[in-house]
Amino acid sequence: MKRIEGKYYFAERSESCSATLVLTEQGSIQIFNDADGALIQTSTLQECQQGPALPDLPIELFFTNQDRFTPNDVAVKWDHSFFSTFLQQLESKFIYVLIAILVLPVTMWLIFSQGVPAAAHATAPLVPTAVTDELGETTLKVMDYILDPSELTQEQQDRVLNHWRDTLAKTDLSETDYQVLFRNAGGTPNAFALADGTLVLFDELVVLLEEKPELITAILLHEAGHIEHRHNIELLIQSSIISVVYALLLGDMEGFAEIILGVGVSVGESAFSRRMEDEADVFALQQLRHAGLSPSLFGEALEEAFGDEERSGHHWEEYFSSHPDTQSRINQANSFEKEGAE
Amino acid sequence: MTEGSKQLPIKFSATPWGYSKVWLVNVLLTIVTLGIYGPWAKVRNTLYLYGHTSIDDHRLQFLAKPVKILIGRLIALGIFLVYIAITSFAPEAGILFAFVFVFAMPWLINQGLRFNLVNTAYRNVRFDFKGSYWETFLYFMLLPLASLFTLYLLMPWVLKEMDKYIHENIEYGGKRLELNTRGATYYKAAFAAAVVYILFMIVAFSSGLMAGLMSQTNESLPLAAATMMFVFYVAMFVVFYLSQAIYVSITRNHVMNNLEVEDLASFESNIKISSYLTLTLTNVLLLVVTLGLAFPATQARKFKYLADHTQINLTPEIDNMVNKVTDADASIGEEAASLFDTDISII
Repeated sequence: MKRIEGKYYFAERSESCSATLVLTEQGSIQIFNDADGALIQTSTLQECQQGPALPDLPIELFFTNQDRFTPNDVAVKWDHSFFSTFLQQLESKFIYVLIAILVLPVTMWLIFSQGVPAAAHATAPLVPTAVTDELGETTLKVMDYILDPSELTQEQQDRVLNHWRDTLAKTDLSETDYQVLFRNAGGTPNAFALADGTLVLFDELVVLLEEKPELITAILLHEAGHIEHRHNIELLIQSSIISVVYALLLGDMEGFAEIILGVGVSVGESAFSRRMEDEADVFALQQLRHAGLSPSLFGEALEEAFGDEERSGHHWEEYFSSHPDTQSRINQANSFEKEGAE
Repeated sequence: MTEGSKQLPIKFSATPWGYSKVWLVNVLLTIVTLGIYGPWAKVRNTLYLYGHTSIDDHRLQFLAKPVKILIGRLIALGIFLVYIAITSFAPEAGILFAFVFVFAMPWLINQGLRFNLVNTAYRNVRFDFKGSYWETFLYFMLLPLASLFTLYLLMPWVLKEMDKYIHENIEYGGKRLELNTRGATYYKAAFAAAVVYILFMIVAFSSGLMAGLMSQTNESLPLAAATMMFVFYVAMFVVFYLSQAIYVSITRNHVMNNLEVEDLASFESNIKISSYLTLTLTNVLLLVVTLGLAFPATQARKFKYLADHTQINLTPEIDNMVNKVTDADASIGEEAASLFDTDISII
């Protein structure tokens, strides 16, 4: 038989008193008011519900009428079942906390750098073409708010398109899968691909590489690589998943922790983007070789278009960039060339 | 003071390390279960903090049910996914969503406040929030907008009105809180915070600049720029927390000292600006050094400080209170509120 000191609280009101709970071996309970010794509750352990068990806090006992008893001693346990104190154990023993501190960053890294991209990669092919077509069209409409119509002459455009068609004819790719459009971007030489197979070239890029349409074709092949690998939709799925997962996992954290971990997530996001760029690069190089053209043409195109950019040797800057380092992409093109020659 | 009244301190027995253990393990469990355990983690964290807070040897209670929070979260998640899907194909719809969101905000805020208060109890008597949609719309959307038109000069007054609105719609066992604050104090607090902010921003900016200049001698401009940005951002966080601390230490004292429940309770707060600033500074440094993992420790330290500097005077009426809240269902709002970041804390 045990005598346990504590407080007795009456349901739905603030009335309470100091009380002593008497527990027999068979589990029957009697509670006496300390002030006058009166019996205020009888029950059995079976009929009662336990409150949550938290480190250094007493475990409360709830009676069928919702009255409750709180022991003064936090060490009092009402039963010795594993589950009732399992979580409390996890939250108080140092070894579990140590595991938490060590496993936490690893798990986060796994989820954001492996799990999420894998999920996006797996679901991207499942998206129906009707959806990706719609996506491409909508994006073009939005982009056309920013971009101006092309100012190239018909002759300039035809020169690009002819070389493109000729090259495609020598590969397994079908010309009808792609639609090449020209736009004026007000200064930057660049190109991009849309989910529905549209390839957009900026006037500035065409003018820059005017003398060598084969370089433009190389770049178009890179963009076609993005379409082939369904990168646009994959990126969309990925960023959606990240937003959701981020909110679910870290939504309860406040302030600084959220920001620090957010930086980690965006570093991870840059890594995905670089991987996609790399896949598109390899696709372009393979198709160039297939069409009987020199893969190093792609390296040359990169050099011409982006060679003026700062080419520092600082590797850590790469972590924040969405494209791999230009020099390494050029190197890859050249080694592809050598491989083919062997 | 009414006869028989007791002047009571607030005891906070959670330790920084004790709470860190609970919090860290719960974060891990949440992540490992891809967020499903989140509601249980949140409830347990709050149960721990509340359970270690006692007045007159009676512990504060938290009565939220995790399952209800989970359901609320799933609904909010559903809405979020619909938003992503629709705006991917029709970006114009984003404007519609923004519009709807603006008008949903007061409801979300009220749900969040109500959920937190209704699930908080002392001696089996729950708190409640009685604010209405349009009043919240006025105080949280219209007034701040109005202050914007006065170049924020009206802001301290708006904040005073917001505090008054929230506190005077809180009930305990059916009894309303009353708050008699003065705008002047809010202006004093805002001014002090602004001064600190400007002074420290100058320091932060110049230290960032210096750091950048010093590292530039190694012929690497990107590195210098990055160093400057990094130092600046860190300094900015510190400055933000410090100026917020000044504001809080002045206004919280004022609010607590003028808060009362008729015939039941009155409050006293004696936060010292210097010691609260020191606490905040050490907390921020802890956060930076541990990349945010010391968050629970900083929470525990802050609550201990606040508890140590607060007193409650209770009349014998406290023994006669009856719980008036029967409908404790407000989970949808709470989780939608935190998903869309409209959480508001009162303590």
